[in-house]
Amino acid sequence: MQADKFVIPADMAPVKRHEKDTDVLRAQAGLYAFLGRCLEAEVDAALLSTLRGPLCKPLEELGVDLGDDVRSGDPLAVLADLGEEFAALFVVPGAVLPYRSAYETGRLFQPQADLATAAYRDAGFEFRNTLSGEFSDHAAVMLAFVGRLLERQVEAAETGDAEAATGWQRRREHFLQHQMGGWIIGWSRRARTCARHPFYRAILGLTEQVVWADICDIVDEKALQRLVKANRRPLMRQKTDHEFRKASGL
Amino acid sequence: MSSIGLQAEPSYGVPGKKRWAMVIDLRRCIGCMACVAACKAEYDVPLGVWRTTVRVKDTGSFPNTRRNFMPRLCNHCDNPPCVRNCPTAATYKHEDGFVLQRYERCIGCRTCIAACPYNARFMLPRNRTRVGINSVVDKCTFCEHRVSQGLVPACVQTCIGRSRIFGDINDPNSEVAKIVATQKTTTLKPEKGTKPQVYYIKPDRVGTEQVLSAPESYAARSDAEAFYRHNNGSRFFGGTL
Amino acid sequence: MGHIKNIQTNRRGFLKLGASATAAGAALASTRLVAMEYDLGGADFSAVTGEKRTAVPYTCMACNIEDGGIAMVENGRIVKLEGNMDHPNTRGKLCAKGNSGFLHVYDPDRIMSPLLRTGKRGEGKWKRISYDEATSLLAEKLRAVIDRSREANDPSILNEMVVKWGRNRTGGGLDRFMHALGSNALINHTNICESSKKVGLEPSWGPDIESCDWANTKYILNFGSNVLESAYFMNPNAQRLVDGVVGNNAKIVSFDVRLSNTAGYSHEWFAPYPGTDSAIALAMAHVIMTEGLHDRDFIRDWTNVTEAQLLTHLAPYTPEFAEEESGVPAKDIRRIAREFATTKPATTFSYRGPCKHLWGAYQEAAIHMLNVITGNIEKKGGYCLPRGMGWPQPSPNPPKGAAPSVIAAPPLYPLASHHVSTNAPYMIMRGEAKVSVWMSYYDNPVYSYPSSHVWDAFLRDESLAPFTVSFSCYMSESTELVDLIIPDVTYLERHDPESMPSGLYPCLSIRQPVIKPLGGTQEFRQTMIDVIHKVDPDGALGIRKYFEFESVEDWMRQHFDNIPGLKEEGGWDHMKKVGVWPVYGKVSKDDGKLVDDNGDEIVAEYGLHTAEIPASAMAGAVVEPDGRITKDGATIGVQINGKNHTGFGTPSRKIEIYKESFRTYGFNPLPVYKRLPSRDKKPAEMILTTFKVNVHTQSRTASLKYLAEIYHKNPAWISPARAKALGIADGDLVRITSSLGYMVTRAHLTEGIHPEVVAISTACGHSGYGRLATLKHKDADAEWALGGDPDITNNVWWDDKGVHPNPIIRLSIDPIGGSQAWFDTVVTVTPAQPGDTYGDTNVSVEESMKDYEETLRYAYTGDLHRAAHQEVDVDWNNLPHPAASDGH
Repeated sequence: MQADKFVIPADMAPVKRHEKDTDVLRAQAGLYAFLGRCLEAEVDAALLSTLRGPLCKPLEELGVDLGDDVRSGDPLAVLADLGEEFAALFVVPGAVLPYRSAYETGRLFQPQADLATAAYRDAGFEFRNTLSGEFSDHAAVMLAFVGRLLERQVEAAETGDAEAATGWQRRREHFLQHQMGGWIIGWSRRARTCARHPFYRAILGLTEQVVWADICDIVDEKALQRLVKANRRPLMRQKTDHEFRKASGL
Repeated sequence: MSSIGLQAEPSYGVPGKKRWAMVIDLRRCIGCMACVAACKAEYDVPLGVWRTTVRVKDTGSFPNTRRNFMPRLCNHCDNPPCVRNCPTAATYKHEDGFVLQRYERCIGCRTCIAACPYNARFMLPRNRTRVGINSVVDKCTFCEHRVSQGLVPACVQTCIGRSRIFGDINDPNSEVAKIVATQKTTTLKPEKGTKPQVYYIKPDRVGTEQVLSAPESYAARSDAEAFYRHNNGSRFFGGTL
Repeated sequence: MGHIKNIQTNRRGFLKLGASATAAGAALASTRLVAMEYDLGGADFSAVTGEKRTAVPYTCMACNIEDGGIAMVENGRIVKLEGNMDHPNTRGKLCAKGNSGFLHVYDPDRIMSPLLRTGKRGEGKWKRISYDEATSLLAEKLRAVIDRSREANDPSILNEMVVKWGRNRTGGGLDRFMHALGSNALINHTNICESSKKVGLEPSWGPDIESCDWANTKYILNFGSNVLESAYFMNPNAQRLVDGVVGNNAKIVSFDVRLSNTAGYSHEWFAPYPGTDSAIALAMAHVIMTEGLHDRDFIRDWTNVTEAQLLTHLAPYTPEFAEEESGVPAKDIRRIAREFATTKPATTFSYRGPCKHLWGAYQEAAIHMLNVITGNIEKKGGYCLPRGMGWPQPSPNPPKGAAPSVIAAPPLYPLASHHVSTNAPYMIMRGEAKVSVWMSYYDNPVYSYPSSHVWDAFLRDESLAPFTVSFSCYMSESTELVDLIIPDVTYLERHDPESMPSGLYPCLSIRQPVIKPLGGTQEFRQTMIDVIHKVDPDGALGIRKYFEFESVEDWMRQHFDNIPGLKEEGGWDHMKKVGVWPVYGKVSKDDGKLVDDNGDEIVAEYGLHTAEIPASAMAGAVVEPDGRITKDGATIGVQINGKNHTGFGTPSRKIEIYKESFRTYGFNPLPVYKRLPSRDKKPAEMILTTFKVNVHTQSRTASLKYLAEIYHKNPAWISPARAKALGIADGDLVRITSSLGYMVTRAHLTEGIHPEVVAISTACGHSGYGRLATLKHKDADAEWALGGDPDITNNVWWDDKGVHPNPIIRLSIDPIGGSQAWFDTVVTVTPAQPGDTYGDTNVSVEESMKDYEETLRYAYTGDLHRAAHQEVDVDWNNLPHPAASDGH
């Protein structure tokens, strides 16, 4: 599979949809929370039991195969394996780093991280790392954030505050398009080709589908083409921007 | 605050005008490459192109071998052929003497690169780390953004041998003016009439010629070959072997 | 293999999954995204560019010169580094490495969290753990050793806790850590660096290095040092060497087997046969003494030898003899000796070519002596004592461990006061020492040591080193092999007190976090505190009391807030703002000198050894018959011609050209020339030497793109005449074969090398250090698929990362100073054989073990030592018995 070619599949043509059904929104929130949790940190006993418990059937019905060991292997061995895979995929030098800064600039903690922090703050959240080496522009934190925005939207809708609900929706759409859409698809594709365990291949595959589908709901055709290009590596030629004028000395 | 004319007149020797210039004392250059690294850091200069470079050449035969260093950068000519040849007036002459670039006007035709007798200009590649300016022509700016704030250029600031000296050559009290007035200095290719404003103290003939000489050793040639496989139309200035 | 259904046609299925996930609730909640606890009150920083940069002082650690720097911070990120104008030795300049150091901080290959090995050593399989878990694990391992030691009532067991470092700028922190634990097994890297230089100097005049007054000298004799590119103290020394040559018309003469940039800059360059520097230096001393060009008064007053003694000793060292040994013409030796002696002031410099040979300490002592006999010691423009500054250690300060460690202080090397780190793995492999916990700090021996493959074998072997830890934040060749990584931060993010005698103006500087440690990483100093607190949680072991710091800043205050003078100016808080103390003056724009507000030069102090002991201190003191001034059992100075001076840091307070300590072990107490085994190689053989270049250190700089672009490959330097005789053309693949095996690299023909020598630089041929150093950035291999910095991914134009020579370099130890004899390796150079490819390296660990046996024969108890030192007046049958000492 060529990881750096990204084409919009024919059967994923954009469909505009503005979801009002709070059940659907709530389910979407759960989906994002799930993906975020799976990518944010190593699988632990609680997550494993959730995967084997309430999520087992829905995953099966979707054709998602997390791997035999995840389904029924010795828990300690599974967690050790998955921990090793997590480190290799996302942490150890040479990993497919899950930070927008790293994907777009090749360096850690660039202004992309500031933008994410600002978006979280604006919504009343804060990024706090648990282990070292974690930054706010982590793909998983962004996924979790989208889930929280969906939750807020649901809360507002249920208390009848339509204006607030719309506000939350706008925030979510803006964040998806501008802070996630330009890189997270390419990244999850890339990480998926490097993943050796079916669990991470599955989660990354789900992430790609879920995020792309929502972006297609939000964004017009032209903007979609731009995002597709942006997700490709290496970066394409940049257009003129204010840096030109500033550096010109005028 | 000086006004910026689009095509300012040459200012060398013009009363009341500044004319920034640099003196490079080749007795003091030790080839440490601090200037190359500082300049790259200052401007996020991509790999494969250089605003300033230091050429290295050994002369003589054993046991009478010597090593020579030749720092080179844009000469910010008072009569710049690049400015004359630019079809869009992207490259322009500042009234204080700088020859600068308006990136948004550059169409990448490379006429200026061909016109420059010093190979001082280069095409930015499509990718770089931090700055969002790609695929247009760029070159040394004499650190105009620092000089306008009263700081010396980055290469001058870091030069370990204090080989690079910078100042207003129109000001008789500046070090550059005093040196050029009292010591023997040379510019590069004066016969071209470009009126370059980088003055060298004590270059060997081999120094001024080696600026544009072809790589000789296998190590240098193989690096140049690797470079040209990767970069079309750019000039190779790397390597110390 | 699963085939996930398409979301567009199975939306309901996705929503069902989502609903179940929502129901799972807290089990899937993010633990990184938390509710904000504070008001929004003002943004931390603006994403708008153009914001003025903040300048924060720090101290560089790209190499070991420790220049004062200023970091430019924009939008919370370090974007540029410059030298600190207030640092009197740095004078505002940084070299290429210092300029590039900020690239380390945001490097995506930086290790950002502790890692625990899950697969086999070196397999590359890790598990991410927290600093808390990591320090607990290390504490547990250390505690096990301590418990075993207490149970057996055997303090030597504590030496099974070993720390091996490459660079230690913790200002006493690492020593405190190990001594608190009760271990003496601290091993530095100095024997691959310049230990024999130190041992050539320390017994003579006290300190381990000289500080030349380059800017004011008129004549420089440079033996094997490349101060314009590397060496102590490259940046400040290089600046002043240029000032001296260009500004003061100083003449510089270089002796180097290779045309380094320093040799290439010199007025005269001579290429002696490797390891013959002392023959030349002693011949010069011979000329100076026999022609009466020496400083009679200085020799009489300030040394422990007489003119007559020296004349007798130097009699055989004629210039003709030196020409025979070195190849340098006698007439030039004679002429330069006269020039050196009659040009005032003058100085030598010798870092580190002469000392990295068998018996290298003699070479250093011989060169050092030239300054002594010409009276250039501590003169303006001469050869001066180093001037550094110290700082108090927080109380209580742990005493050294109770039992000596044989790997830290090998009994067969009693004069090697700077350890013999190269020997550690061999000693351990032979069962001479036991290791339980091996800790590695700022070190990469699997790359930077001779016969580096032996270190690779050692670190992989769990029976030799049961538990290994690295504190490095880069996945170097050595760090790849350990069990546990507790990553340190870069030098721009940590706290240290710092002082280097890098010039004539002693000063202190600091390291401080220019930005908060990236991503919540933790500096090593804090890791030490955490580990000690876990080893001894309630203080019952008597260990914790040495680490009762509330914070790292608290630790810094205990250093800086107790220094007289600095205390009054604000101590640590002052240091954070200014970075350097004291600030002597300003750097003059005209000539770079340090000047006061009137523009007058701030002249350094000279003649430190002549400082008079004040009358108050003389009260109760006794002047011994030999001139020493003693008080309360300690020697405080020396009386010369009726004046009471502090003198030099030696027992007699004079310069001890004659070293009784050397004689005790059968080494010649005076500087001598010993003909090396490599001098007698076969004519078809050559000598392999290595060297450093101005843009690289041993290891870490390989991943910095600006530096790698300038220098990324290290072909073998060989003279055209010699190459022709061998049938080798410029750029040909060649095989270089030593007794250990061979390597395949390319030849680089140059007129800048001795015809008997082949030279290969360090810093290339890495297999660790991330994408750039190993040029894997373009590989389609999925492991590297993400690519890095777009500049690196797309614009790297070079494809040759060089071949590392260390595997074929034999272990060979100077029995006096302990130095690895880097420049004695005998090799053959031949055109590559069919099937050879560039980079092939084929060496044998078994052969390397034989080298250890061989080198012990030169130790003072060995047969080859005795055979080579028949002239020494010592009872060979009653040499001191090898005894463990507490080392350095």
